[in-house]
Amino acid sequence: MSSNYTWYGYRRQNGQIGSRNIVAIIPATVCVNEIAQAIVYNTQMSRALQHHCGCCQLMPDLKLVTDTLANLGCHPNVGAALVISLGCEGSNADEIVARIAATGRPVEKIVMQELGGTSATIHAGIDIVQKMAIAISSQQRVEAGLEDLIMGIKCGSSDTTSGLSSNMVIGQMSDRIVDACGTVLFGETTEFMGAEHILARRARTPEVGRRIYEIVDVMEKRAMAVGVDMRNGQPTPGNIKGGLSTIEEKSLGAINKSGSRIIEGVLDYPDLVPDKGLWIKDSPGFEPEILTGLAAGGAQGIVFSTGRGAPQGFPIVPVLKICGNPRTYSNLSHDMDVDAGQIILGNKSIEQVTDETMTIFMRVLSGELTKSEAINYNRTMDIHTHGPKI
Amino acid sequence: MNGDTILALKIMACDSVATVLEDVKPSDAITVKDKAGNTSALLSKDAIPFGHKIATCQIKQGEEILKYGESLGVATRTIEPGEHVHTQNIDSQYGCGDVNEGASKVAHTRASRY
Repeated sequence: MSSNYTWYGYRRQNGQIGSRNIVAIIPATVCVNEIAQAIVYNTQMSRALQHHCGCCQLMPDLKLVTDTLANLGCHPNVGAALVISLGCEGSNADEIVARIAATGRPVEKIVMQELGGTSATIHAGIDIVQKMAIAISSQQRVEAGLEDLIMGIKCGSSDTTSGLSSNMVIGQMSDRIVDACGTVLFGETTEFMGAEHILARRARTPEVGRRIYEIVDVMEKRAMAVGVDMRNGQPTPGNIKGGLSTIEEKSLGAINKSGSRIIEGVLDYPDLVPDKGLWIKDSPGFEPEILTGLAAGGAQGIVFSTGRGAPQGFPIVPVLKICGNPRTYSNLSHDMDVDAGQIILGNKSIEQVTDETMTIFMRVLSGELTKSEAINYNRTMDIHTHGPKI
Repeated sequence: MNGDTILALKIMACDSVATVLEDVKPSDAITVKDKAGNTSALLSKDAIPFGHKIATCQIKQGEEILKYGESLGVATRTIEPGEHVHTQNIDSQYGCGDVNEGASKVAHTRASRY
């Protein structure tokens, strides 16, 4: 099925199309976050992918961190990348570099313990990023369609309006994009609890259905292992104040974002989306970590539904905020991009707000700044790992 | 708004709760409207904040509370029509790490879904 939606992005050597053209500064470990940030302060077009991982973790988590950072470096929105190594981290900086280089992107690595310290590494990094920024800055946008798009979706700081309005809009966007041979990625395994049977019924194969039950079971057992009622962790105190009484209620509203189409498969946290259609990313609801998972999957744009008012952006991906609660929208209009609260007020239909949001989303993919981008909400992210930091 | 009553949205016909679209005081008149446009009248028994749930029928202790046609958890006591339905009278069936494995706070057959 064809669609009338077009957007304009940066075509990469491997055929991907990016909605932004960014020099990604990738710290291989938490210890060099400050270096990454200092380079960003002194250069144009650069963003730091800061996190709190990369050392003193067990092997499966170190591999997960390496895979996640490598896939972020290969993201369509990244035009060039600089990997910063401390020199003794547990993650694998060379593998990150090699995997980015394999996509044809310019990539370099600098090592703090070899370059003579923090200030020398900042200096070297600025020189490299200056060169990279100039090199990619002349690239022009080309026409793209929904078939070139991976839309990441997320809801956060939800209340009962989210499930009734903004998540319904995202669900319709999701169906439209899947029907136009595009790709949609959703996650928040915690917020499948109580709604997993509905998702499993939409699985492409019985095996995918079983996997949906399995990831929910694992997530619930991790929460229960703490020995307390999960309530207040999920749903959060804010969710509860907003009227969401149980995780089941939160989940039943949250899954509306995924629309109604077949679910092709369940991806591990660092994984790239392997094909078109609707996919699940096994991830927590915690914003800085799920947004990383959606970005690692290759989402060029994230549509984020909120009721109480989440402020999030992401370093390398525009995050479009759609607000289901009319009171929140008027109170936080500088953080919210789209007012879906008109739906519960009866002033607009879900279809009308979906049309409007699709149009705005195409503009954002083509370069229009979101509210969070325009105020530099672009430094917060983290990586979801499983074991302890020891 | 529907005259001087407060609107509450019910999603599926079988739901036992509706979402109030204004702050509700005890004894406020509520108009419950469902997706198909059917309306019914209800009197609130509690103060219910905007966006919270009001019971549209009697829900007996241990019964599932339905919204979106699905279970939100179970009633910890019998809830009368017009009451505020929230954490004080619903228990989740998930993530109850404070009870022994295999034991549920209230009788329920969640396993039947699998």
